Amino acid sequence: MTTEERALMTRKFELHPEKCSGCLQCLMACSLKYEGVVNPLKARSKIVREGGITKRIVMSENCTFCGFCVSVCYYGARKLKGGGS
Amino acid sequence: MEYYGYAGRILKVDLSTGSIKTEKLDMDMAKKFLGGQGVNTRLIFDLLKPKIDPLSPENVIIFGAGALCGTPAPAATKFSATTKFPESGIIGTAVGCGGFGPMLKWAGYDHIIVTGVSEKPVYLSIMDDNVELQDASDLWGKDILEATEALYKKYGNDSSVLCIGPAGEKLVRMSLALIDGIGHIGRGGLAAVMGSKKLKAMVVRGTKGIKIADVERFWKIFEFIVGRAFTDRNRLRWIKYGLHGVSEAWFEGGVVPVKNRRESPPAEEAIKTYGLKAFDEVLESYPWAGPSCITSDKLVMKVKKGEFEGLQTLASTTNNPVIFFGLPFNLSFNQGVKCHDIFNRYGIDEINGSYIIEVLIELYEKGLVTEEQLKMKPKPDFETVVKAAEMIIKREGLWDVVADGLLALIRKIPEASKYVIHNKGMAFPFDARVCLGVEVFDMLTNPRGAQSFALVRTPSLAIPNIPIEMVKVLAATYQIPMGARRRIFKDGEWSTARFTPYVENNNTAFNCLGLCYRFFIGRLYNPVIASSMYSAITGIPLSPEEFLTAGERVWNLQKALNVREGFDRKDDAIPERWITEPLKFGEKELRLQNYTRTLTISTREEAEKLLDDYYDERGWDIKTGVPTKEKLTKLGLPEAANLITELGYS
Repeated sequence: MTTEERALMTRKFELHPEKCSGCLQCLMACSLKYEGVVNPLKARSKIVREGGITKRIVMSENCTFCGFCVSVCYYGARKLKGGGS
Repeated sequence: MEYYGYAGRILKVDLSTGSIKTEKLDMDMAKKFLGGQGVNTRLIFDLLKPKIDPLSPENVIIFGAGALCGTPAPAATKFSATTKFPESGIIGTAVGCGGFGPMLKWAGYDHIIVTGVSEKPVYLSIMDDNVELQDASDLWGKDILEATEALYKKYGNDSSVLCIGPAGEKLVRMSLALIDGIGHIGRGGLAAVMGSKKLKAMVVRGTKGIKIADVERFWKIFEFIVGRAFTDRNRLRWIKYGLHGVSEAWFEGGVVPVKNRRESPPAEEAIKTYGLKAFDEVLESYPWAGPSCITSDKLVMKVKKGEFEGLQTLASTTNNPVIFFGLPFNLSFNQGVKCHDIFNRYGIDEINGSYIIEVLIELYEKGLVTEEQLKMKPKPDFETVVKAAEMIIKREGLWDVVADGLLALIRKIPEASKYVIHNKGMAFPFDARVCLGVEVFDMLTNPRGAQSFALVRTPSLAIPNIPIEMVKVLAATYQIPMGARRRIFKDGEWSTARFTPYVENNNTAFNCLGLCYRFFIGRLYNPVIASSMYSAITGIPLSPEEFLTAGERVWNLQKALNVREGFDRKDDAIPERWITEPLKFGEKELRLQNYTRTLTISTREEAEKLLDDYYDERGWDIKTGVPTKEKLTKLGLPEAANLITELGYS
């Protein structure tokens, strides 16, 4: 993915860290899909928390923006613009 | 061997020698006891010598992640700790939510067995295969949140920490540990056991992973469960307020008694001071979920105005500041949050800790304890609660006894026994005179005593006025056999005592899988869904009947162990004060009655009849309240059957 393509894809994602509960479903689903095992540390994005509060959601370089993480976010912290939850 | 769902290894830590070993998880044992509480209980059956002092080096702690922990199976976050608890002397399992169970699985372990005692304070660091005992002299003396933050700083915010506070270090039996600074684990003194072993904390970060046997089937069941979650019209309320979301209904029902359980405060005033509007005015909050939880009910709370402005604390049961501090001690909402923060930092059990202060106030009023003994005049106010917490940690004067809990207090002041409402030394968070539901009844028969959190279990049968038709639906949902249902439902009534064993079996099986059973989560699963999920993840066939039998097996094994320790029917008795004294609620006087309030229970004989029904339903000996040899053998527990026989039961 070129830098331009990546920037375009990033804009399709809405990230709302203030709504993130830290349930890690997004990261577990990602690691299961792409690595064949469940472990958030193997996912293609990460959640940065301080004092129990999510401060940032960071998409990694190897994220393809497939949207699987969005499909398992039940707190509204990750969304696709124009629909989806 | 390829493992699915399970990590396949047990970590063995001997604090006396510093030896750290791993061994393979016995899969035959895992199939029979599922995991979590089940495998913990079977392991401790062999490892714990009879009648040991819980704070001696001979005590053992077995930690266990549930079989589904570490997967996205919704709400599979429960981590369990099995030990001999020092406050009561019972052998049991505590469970708590947080990242520790899943993270332990990702590091490659299902269980940790901790034995012996360290010479100096240590903590256990588990970084995949690199497991070490580390010097904890810098952490010793720190409160739980400070020590947890220090470990996050060293190992990363994506690690998980289980930690004790000053209460555990000072061997306060009324103590517990916190997972990630939020999930309570181990009422009854798990922290004191860890403190006696000089084990301040455990930190884990795992970079391996857990495999799922049938991924396609897993996601199908997952989506079905998510669909059920979104049928809950209160889902967003749970996420915003946690269990505080039900507080107003509890005030209206009078379910939060105060003044040592003598009266329930008027609802109108309580709602005004502590209701949802007051919550919004006082607090800013952020949702906090254990890994895989799809309806979180934990919060990071920040006081946004008034006293203690800027105070930030974490709350697992978000109405604790109100029901254990605000209401009983006439505090402002802000002061309730501050007290919760203090108890959490020290690692004092909020239920027993706040209740014993209520008891002391009554004993002081009656002249059974003096100002000189307490070094204060105890009153229902903020200063009393804060000073009491400090005195418990310092263990000065009578507080040295108070720190060890209700049973220790009764031993010191025998006349106090008629004023203390407890079961096996544990205070009841709620009151059977308000509603004799399953949750409250289980707090009598539970080997751990009044440990469960009433009104939050699934199926929730502690709320008054559930129509009998709905109770019948719940009985069917939870796969109660038809023969049992005929005994439970008779003449337009239903028997709490006979329904209770089936809820206990179900929820014990939940603990084995590591599933949460707070009612808005537990309702997402039932034995069919839970057993299907287990099979999809592990590849091991499990029917709903086998799932429930595993729960019953673990319950019976736990009971047999406690019979060995001297517990029997006498320890399950209904507290005298519930039978003899009404609970005042406004103009009403609530007396102990059956669930449907058609029968008043006013004598010891009538109360004992309820226990008869429970033991009969369990297939136990009614006279002693002990599992029969026949029952234990039928459950595939020959080791427990032999134990019971050796103890002189049949």
